[in-house]
Amino acid sequence: MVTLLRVRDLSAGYGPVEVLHGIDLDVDAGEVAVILGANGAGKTTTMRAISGMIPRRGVIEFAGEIITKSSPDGIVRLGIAQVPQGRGTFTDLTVEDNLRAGAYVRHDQEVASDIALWYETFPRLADRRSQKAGTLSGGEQQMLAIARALMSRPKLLLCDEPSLGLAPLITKELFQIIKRLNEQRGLTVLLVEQNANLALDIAHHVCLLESGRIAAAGSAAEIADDDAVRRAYLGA
Amino acid sequence: MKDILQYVLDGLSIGSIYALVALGLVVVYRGTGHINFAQGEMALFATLVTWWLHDQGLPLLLAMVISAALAFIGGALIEVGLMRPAEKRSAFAPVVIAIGLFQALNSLSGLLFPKSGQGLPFPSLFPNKPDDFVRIFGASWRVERIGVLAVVLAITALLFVLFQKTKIGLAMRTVANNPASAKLVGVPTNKILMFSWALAAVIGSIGGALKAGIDTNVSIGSMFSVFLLASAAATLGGLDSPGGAVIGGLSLGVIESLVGNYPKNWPASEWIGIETKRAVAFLIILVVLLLRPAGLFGSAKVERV
Repeated sequence: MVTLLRVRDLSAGYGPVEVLHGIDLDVDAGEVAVILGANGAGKTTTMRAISGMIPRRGVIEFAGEIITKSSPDGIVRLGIAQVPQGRGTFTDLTVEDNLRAGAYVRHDQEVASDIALWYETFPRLADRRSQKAGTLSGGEQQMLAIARALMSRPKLLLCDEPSLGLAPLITKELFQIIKRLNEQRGLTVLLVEQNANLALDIAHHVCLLESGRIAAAGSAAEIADDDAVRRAYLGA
Repeated sequence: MKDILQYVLDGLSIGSIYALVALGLVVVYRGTGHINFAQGEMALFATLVTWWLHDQGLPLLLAMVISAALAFIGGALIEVGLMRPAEKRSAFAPVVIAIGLFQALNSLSGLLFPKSGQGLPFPSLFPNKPDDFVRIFGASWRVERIGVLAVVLAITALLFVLFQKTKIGLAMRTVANNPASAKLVGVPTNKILMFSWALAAVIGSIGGALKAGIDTNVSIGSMFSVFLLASAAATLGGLDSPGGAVIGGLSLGVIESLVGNYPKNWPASEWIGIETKRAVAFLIILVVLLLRPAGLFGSAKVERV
């Protein structure tokens, strides 16, 4: 297994408040890795630190390059795309312009064919291509946010709590799509979730994040069997 | 009827200037969410530079082009050196910095161009001899005013193409809508904001020179009332809409002109007339904003969750 993302002793936070206290994390190429954690555990902070959105200390290595000091746009250029929490679509822009914006870092001629490709994967986006993104339903916006992230042709897709605020059925559909992207396209995914049942279903590896520290890590099966995890996240 | 047409045409000329300065405001507002209080004085300073270059013997058009290039650099430096550090401190700091910049540029203008207090003679880019006009249904439309309006419409069209058809325009729209997401798709948001300020300064430099041309002189106080009315125009049209800024500017000019020429023998003429034209114009804006808070063409935020 090739390690695509290697995180060592990562600390990050907001101003004087440190949220992450030195976490280690490995994501192998081609896998779905999941960070499980409760509210306030530091899941979103981890995502924002990897994407370069907040000040951070430690080592973040992606595809052999140290990106701890890189700018957000530099990190996107290297091949990490993030679907932020709350989706973060460009609400005033049309669906199609959102997808074009997703390809901002690219300079090739295949943007239009990629847009067509993602319209096939997400047919409801195709129906709404000239609508402003803000008029889409929550589930549609989440799909748009994923499609937009994929437009940069990332090697690693970061998904920050995609289930947030969505109906269970739509969440399920969304996780199936992420699973397919991983299986059929070999896309590496790092996902943070509170919904352990859903996440364990598609994960290869799982990390447990508690109060800014990694409390446990292992294969999805190991974590699912862990009694403490079952009590805290699976309600059994 | 002929008179009314005349007033409308007159209003369109001063309205063109409001529209240009309003366009500069919109370009910065879309990127930062702030009204650039220094937009008028940035235009004034650039206009004085244009005056100086012309005074050194350069043709006016060349002087304007060089001044616009310098304004581009100056606008970018203002963003990098003043606005960006301020933005990091607090959300309101850039507003205060812009007000300070307004004062600073005005004083600097007086310092570097001592005679600008009384007014410096400024040539027009377009023919402006007494008989340079065309007749439309009996009203006279001066060639210079037609030229200024044409420049405003051309700049609006260029901005439209920039925003809607180019990659940098797309990036500007993403920064305006959601700066955090713009970063996450790889837009270098700092460079985009720098470009927005540079562009606003260029638009201001053109607006200032055209205004000075219409007035045939430029002085320290030239741009102040223009800025006030341009910000009203931009609010009226919708602060995030370039087309709205132009329509807002032109209608404000026309309203002012019509109110200012309200016939003395009509009812309530002691209340409506040249002295109250601005008050009436602002009253109309107030009513419009009560009905449409985002302005005539501004986008009200629509977001489903």
